[in-house]
Amino acid sequence: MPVQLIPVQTKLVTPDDDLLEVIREYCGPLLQKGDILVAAETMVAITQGRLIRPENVKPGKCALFISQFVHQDGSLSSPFALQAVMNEEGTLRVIAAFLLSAFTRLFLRRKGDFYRLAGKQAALVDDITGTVPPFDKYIVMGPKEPEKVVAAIKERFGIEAAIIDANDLGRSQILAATEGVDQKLLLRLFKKNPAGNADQQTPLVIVRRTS
Amino acid sequence: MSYLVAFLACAGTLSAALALYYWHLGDQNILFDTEAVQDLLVQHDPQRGEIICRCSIPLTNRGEQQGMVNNVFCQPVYCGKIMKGMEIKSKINVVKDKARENGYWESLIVKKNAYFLTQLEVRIRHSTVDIPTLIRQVPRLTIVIYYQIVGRKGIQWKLAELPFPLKDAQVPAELKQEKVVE
Repeated sequence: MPVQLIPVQTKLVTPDDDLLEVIREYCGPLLQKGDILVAAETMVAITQGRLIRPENVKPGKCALFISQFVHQDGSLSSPFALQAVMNEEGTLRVIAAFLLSAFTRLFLRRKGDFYRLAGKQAALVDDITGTVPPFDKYIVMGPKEPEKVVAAIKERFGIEAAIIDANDLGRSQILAATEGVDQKLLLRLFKKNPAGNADQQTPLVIVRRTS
Repeated sequence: MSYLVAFLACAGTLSAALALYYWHLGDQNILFDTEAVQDLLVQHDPQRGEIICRCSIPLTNRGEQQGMVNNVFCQPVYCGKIMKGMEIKSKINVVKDKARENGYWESLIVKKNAYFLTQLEVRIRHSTVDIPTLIRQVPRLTIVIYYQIVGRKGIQWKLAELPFPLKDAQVPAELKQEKVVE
């Protein structure tokens, strides 16, 4: 079924903004019945104030040590981001994930277990430099209770909604979606990251079926 | 007993190996290389009544790991009472296609052996004293660059000093020519 993707440019969304009000202001006139509204996880996290200055994180010995084993391109290669994840997901869980994933990596040649085992935040956290300014100075955690957020969007605007973590590397992940969303279709559509990861400032995308 | 000794020996060896690995990884060594400053320019603009100092400073990482330059601040070194009426504006940014002209330093990943060129610009005015008098009293102005590196082994604040020889300030040729026409 053919679909149209409409990226919606917004102002710089900050922790002072209410997500539903941002959607009303920028998408309100565009929304039609049957649309799916897709919100970027970083924007949702920012409106929830999920920002941490690295200066306010004191990495422990475990974070300093484990982060050395994470590839330098990953957010968790920074002990500050890793400590922030440990603070949310639990230090023991992250240590256990590290030990188990080391085992599966060495003996089963399987990659990615650390992110699967260390909790949602391990995969969602963005280290400094990972987000557009002024949030480039912050560690941006993943959003809290994304299921409640999509439910609130559906209730307010009467459309299906999803929160997605898309990037330019072609690895997209749906954090939460309302029941009527075809998640497979959405993942296919967002493989090319239509909202962009740089300065595009289009954190909302309307997915519209065209016939 | 022999099992305990074997266990302790294994644990000790593993700990030592991990500590050695951690030490061997090294750290970032990111620095504004003020020894390798390029295109140093000190200009006196008589029409605007200001001195413009400009130069390119290499930003390099000679360490073993990557790091992030998260914050950069520039500040002049105090140069006596004359500073009271001085207005000094400085900005530093990475020279690239989409550089921000407003002086905001965007956090930057500097990978191992990476090299960026940054440009520092300092504009100096004085509210009561004219520029030749200012130059006589402050023949050299030092700008201090404080920068914060977020590395894989912690946060470091570093400092680089850069002296600008105000006494060498030249009036640009095009401005000299205009003066002759007058």
